[in-house]
Amino acid sequence: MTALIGFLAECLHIALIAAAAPTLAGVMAWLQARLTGRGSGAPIIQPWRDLARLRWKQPVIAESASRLTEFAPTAFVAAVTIAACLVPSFTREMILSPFADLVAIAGLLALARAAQALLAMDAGTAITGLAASRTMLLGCGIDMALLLAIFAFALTGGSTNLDQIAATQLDANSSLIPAGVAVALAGLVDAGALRHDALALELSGMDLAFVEAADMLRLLLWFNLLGAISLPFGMAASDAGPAAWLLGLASWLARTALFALGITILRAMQERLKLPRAAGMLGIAMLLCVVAIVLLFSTMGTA
Amino acid sequence: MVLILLAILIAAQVVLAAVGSRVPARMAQFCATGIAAAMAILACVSLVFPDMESVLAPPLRLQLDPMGASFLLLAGVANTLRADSRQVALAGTALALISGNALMLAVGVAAATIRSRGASSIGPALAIVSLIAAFALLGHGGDFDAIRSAAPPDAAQVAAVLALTLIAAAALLAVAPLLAAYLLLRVLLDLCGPPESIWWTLPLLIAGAAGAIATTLRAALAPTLHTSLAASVLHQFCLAIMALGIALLGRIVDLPALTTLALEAAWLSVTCLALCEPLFLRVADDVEHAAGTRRLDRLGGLIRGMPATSACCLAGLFALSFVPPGLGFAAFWLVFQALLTAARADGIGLQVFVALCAAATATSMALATVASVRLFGTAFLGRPRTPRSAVAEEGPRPTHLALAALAGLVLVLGFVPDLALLPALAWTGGTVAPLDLGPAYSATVIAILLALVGGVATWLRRQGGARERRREAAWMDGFAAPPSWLPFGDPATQVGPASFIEPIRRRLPAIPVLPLEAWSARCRALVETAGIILARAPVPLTLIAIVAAIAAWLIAS
Repeated sequence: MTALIGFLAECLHIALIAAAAPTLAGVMAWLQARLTGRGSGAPIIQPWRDLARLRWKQPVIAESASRLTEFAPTAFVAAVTIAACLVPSFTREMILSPFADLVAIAGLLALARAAQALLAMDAGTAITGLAASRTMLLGCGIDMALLLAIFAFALTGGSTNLDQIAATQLDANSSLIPAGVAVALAGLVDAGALRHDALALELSGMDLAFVEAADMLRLLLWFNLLGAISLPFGMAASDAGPAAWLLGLASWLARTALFALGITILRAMQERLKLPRAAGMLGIAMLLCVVAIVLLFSTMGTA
Repeated sequence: MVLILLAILIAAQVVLAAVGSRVPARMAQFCATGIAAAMAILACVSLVFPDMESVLAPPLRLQLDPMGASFLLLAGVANTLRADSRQVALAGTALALISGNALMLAVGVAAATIRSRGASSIGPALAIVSLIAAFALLGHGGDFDAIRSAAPPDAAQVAAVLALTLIAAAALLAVAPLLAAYLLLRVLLDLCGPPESIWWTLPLLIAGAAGAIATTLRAALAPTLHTSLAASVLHQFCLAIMALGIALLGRIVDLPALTTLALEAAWLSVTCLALCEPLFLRVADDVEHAAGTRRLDRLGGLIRGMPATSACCLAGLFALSFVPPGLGFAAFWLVFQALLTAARADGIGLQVFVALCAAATATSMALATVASVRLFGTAFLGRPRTPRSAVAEEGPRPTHLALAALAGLVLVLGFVPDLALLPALAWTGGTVAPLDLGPAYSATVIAILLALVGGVATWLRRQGGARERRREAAWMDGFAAPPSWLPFGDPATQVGPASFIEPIRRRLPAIPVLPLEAWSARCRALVETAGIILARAPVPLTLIAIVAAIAAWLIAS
C-alpha cells in the first residue's frame, strides 16, 4: 500500500513538474516585463508555444559536428529529468525517494553540465567553445559549493538522503542558514537564472526544444531542491495520505512563487551576471559552507 | 595447490619473456594473455576457497591471502585485456602479490619494475631500498606471519615504517600504481597492527588530499594527452590513500563500520586505477601513433577517424569524473560517506581536519570533471588542428577488442559497484546485500533510469520535424574565411586546450616564489646526473641496490 501511494505520488510529482516548468518560465518572463515597464509582456503560455513551434522545425546540424551531437542532448535531458524526479516537490516519501541521494543529484547536475559542454565543443565554433569553458569553470565552483553544503546538511541530517534531510530540517537548525544561502547561490549560477551562456547555438528544431525544456526544468529543480532543504514546511509525508498532499501542494506553490519573485526582482535589477561576479558568488557560497560547518562542529558533540 | 600452480605460471611467464624474441610475436602474445587469464582464474579460485597455507622454506616464502588474491585478480584481468602485456612485469607483480616475506616482495617489485619503458630506474631502486628498510624496522626477518603474530611495533618504529612505505609507494607510482596501492594496504593495514594514535593517520590524509588536488590540477592543465590521462588515473590512487587513512582512523576510534566503508572506497578506487591505466595507456599510444603527436593543441576532431578509440576513452573518462553512474563516482561517494562518519568521531581539531579533507576531495572531483571535458572536447571533438590529426585512423582490430572489453568492464562495474566490491569482501569486512533498498546511492537504479529516460527522449527527438536532419556549414562567428590550404577552417578560431582552462588557471592562487631558484637548479642537476648514470646501467644497479638492502636487512635482524 505504501509503495502504491509512493508510486502515485511520484507520478503526480512528475506530471506537476512537467507542467510547471515551462509555465514557470512564462510567468517569470511576464512578471519581468511588468516589473521593468515593458508593457503587458508575452502571455504566460508563450514557452509552450515556442516549444510546439520548434517541434515541427527541421533540425539543422553543423557540417563539422560529429555523432556526439546525436547523443549529448539526450544525455543532458535524461540527467536533468532524473534529478528533477528525485527532488521532492509537494510530498516526501515518493517511490524514488530512497535513491534521492544529494551527492548523486549533484553528480547528475554535473553530468548535465558536462554533456552540455561537450555538445558545445563538438562543432568547433568559437563562441560555443568559450561558453563551454565558462560553464565548466562555474560548474567546478558549483560542485565544490554544493558538496560542502551537502556535507553541512548531512552532518545534522545523519545522511546524504534528501528525504531524510528534508524531514530533519523541519526543526530548523540556525547553523545551517549559511549553507542554505550557499545552495541558493550555487543554484542561481547553475540554473542560468541570471546568466545564459551561448551553449546551444548549434542546435535547432526538436533538439533545441528538448534542451530548452530541460533548462526550464533545471530551474524548477533548483527551486524544489532549495525548498526541500531550507523551507520544507508543509511538505506531506506518505502516512499523511492524499489529503495532506493538498496542503503540500499549496506550500509548494507558495515556495515556488516566492523564489520566482525573488529571481525576477534580481533579473529586473541586473539583467546579466558577468563571469567574474558569478565566480565570486560561488566563492562566497563556499565560504558560507565553511562557516556553517564550523558552526555545526562547535555546537554538536562527538559520537 | 593454487600457490604451486601460480608459481608455475610465474615461471612460465619468465621463460616466455626470456625466449620471447625467438617465438612468433602473436604466439608469445597469445601465451602471455593465456597466462594472465589463468592467474585471474586462480585468484578467483583462491577467493572462493581460501586457504592460508604457505609453501617453500622461510627464506623463500609464498602465501596467498584474500587481499593478495583480490589484487591478483585485478592484475590478471587488466593484463588479459591489455593487448600488449609485459610478461616480466606481470610475473613480478604476481610474485609480489603472493609473497609471504619481505625478500620475495622485494624480488617481485624489482621484477615488476625492471625495464619498464620510459622510466629511469631511480624510482624502483628507491622503492626497493625503502621497502627493505621498512621491513628491517618491522623485524622478524621480514616474515609476514611472524610480524602479524608478534607484538605491535612501538610508536617511533611505526612512524618510520609509515614514512618509508609512503616513499616506496610514491617511487613506484609512475611504473606500477597497482603494486604501490598493494604495498600501502599490506604494510599499513595488515602488518603494522592496530595504530594507537590518531596523528599517525594524518600523513596519509594529507598526502591523499594534497595529491588529489595536485593530480587533478595537473590533468586539467597538462599540454599533452599522456600527461593528462596519467594524472587523471593517479587521482584515483590519491583517493585510495585518503580512504586508507580514514580506515586506519576507524580502527583507532573503534568504528568498524567506518573502516569497512573506507576500505570499500579504497578498493573501488584501486579497481578504477587498475582498469583505467591500461585503457588510457593504449588510447594515448594509439592516438599518438595515428595522429603523430601527443600534444593536445595539435589534435582535434579525432572522433571522426577513430570512433571506437574515442568511445573507449570517453567511457574511461566517464569512470574518473564526478558523474553518476561511474566507477569513480561510486568510490567518491563512499569516501564522502566515510568522511561524514569520521567527522562525528573525535574532537574538534580532527573534525575540522576531516572537513578540510572533504573540501579537498570535492575540489579534486570537480577538477577531474573539468579535466575530462577539456581532454575529450579538445582532442576528440571539434575541428582537426593539424592535417595529420584530420586523417588519423583506427589502429589494428585486436587492440579495439581489448580496448572495448576494458571500457565495457569499467562501465559495467560503475553501473553495479557491488560487483566490483565482491573480490575484496573478505578483507574489507563488508557484506553485499542482494537487494538493498535502504537510502543510499544506487548506481544501478540511476543507470536504469538514465537508460529509460534516454530511450524515451531518443524516440521523441525523432518525431515531429526531426525525422530527417539537414547538414549545413556552421556559422563561424564572422571570422574571415580560411585560406584553401586550411580545409577544416582556421584552428585558431576554436577553443583550444590552453584557452579552455584559462579561466581556471587565472584564478589559481599565485604560488609564492621562494628564493630557492639557484638551490633547486643545483639539486635538479645532481638528480639528473644520478638519473643518467642509473639509466645507463639499470639492471646491475638495481641488483646492487637489492643486495645492499638485503645485507642491511640481515644485519638488522
